[in-house]
Amino acid sequence: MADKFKVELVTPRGIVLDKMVDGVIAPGVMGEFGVLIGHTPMLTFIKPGIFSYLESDRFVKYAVGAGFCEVLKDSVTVLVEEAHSVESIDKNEVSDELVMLERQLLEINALENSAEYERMLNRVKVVKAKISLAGGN
Amino acid sequence: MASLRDIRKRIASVKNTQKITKAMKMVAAAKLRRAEEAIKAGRPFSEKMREVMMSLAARTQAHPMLESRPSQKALLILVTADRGLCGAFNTSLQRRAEAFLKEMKAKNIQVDLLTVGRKGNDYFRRRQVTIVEKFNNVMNSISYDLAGRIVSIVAEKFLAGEYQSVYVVYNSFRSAVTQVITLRKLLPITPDEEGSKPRRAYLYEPSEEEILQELLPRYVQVQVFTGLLDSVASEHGARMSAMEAATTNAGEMINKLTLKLNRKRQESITTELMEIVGGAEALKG
Repeated sequence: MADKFKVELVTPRGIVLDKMVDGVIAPGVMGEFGVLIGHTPMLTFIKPGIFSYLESDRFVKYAVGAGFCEVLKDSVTVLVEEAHSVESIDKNEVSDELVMLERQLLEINALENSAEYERMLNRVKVVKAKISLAGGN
Repeated sequence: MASLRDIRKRIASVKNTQKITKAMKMVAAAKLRRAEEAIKAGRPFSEKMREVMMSLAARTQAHPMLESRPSQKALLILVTADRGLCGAFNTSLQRRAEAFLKEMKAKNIQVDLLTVGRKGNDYFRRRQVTIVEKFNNVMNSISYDLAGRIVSIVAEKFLAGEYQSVYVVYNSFRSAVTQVITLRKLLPITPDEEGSKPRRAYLYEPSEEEILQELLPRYVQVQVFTGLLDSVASEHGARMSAMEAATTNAGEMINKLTLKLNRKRQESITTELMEIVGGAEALKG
């Protein structure tokens, strides 16, 4: 494997991850993208989904919310609204959460209150990512 | 004249009050610690956001969120506590808000309010101010999401041209005993000169404009969020010192009352003795 670089996963609740890794795969708005060391500096948005980093030939995954990502030559900084590691997810809890959120989503009028709708939709997507993480690793 | 029994009762009641204030102080201290941790945890996020924001906005041309609106109205977000018993925390905020309203009125600008925290709403509800939206009883569970809700309301109104500018006033947290009232302009966003660094050559995906479009509301959201965090920590700090003072005062009061009680008791014993001696003398003679 090539040289390692620094990756930071930061949420408003604190730094979730700060580590030297071999590679990163992140869910960008234009599709998933992978980053290895020496990547061109880039700024892009992250959509809710699964973020993973590669360390000694093993992928470690996180379910992340919307945010953005700054890629530099020797570091990657990901700022997202939330991030959950596989260990922190309780399978039963998230499926309940999904049911509740989807019900709330139905109550919002997408035309009248688009910002609110958008936000709920994002939350649903995060929970879905959490479920897929908890389901099969 | 208070009788011995009255004073004893009084002492007992002050003691009970002291117990309560002591407990409240302890609870506030514990909550303060948690709030401080939340501030610390949120700092990297907001700093990074600011950094990226400034490098972007420094070269940016025009965006609706960067421009002032031709309107005679402004919006003030007032962040207070939900509960009292925290010294001058709420009152000084209300006073600052009042002063701001007056200031703007002199410039012929009408100010509407958006209140976060019950106390601010309680105070302005009965005054000649429009409260466009209120968030009551939220200070126990502030989240990044809540900041997002506030910002989307505010941004929508601002972008629709209803308000020429949006301000926020809150207690910013310096230390457990000092809170500083901070009034800040939220919208339009003004990139401060010192913060702008030479920008890095980035690849933007999608375009630079789109990134900025998405980033600006988020930047405002982070600002509101840090404001909320600060306010919560300040509230607990203020309550802690207020309750500390109350506990000390109660202690002083108990001392004074005890002194009074002892004097009174001695006095009555002395009078009784005098009476007995007087009676004995009278029998002798």
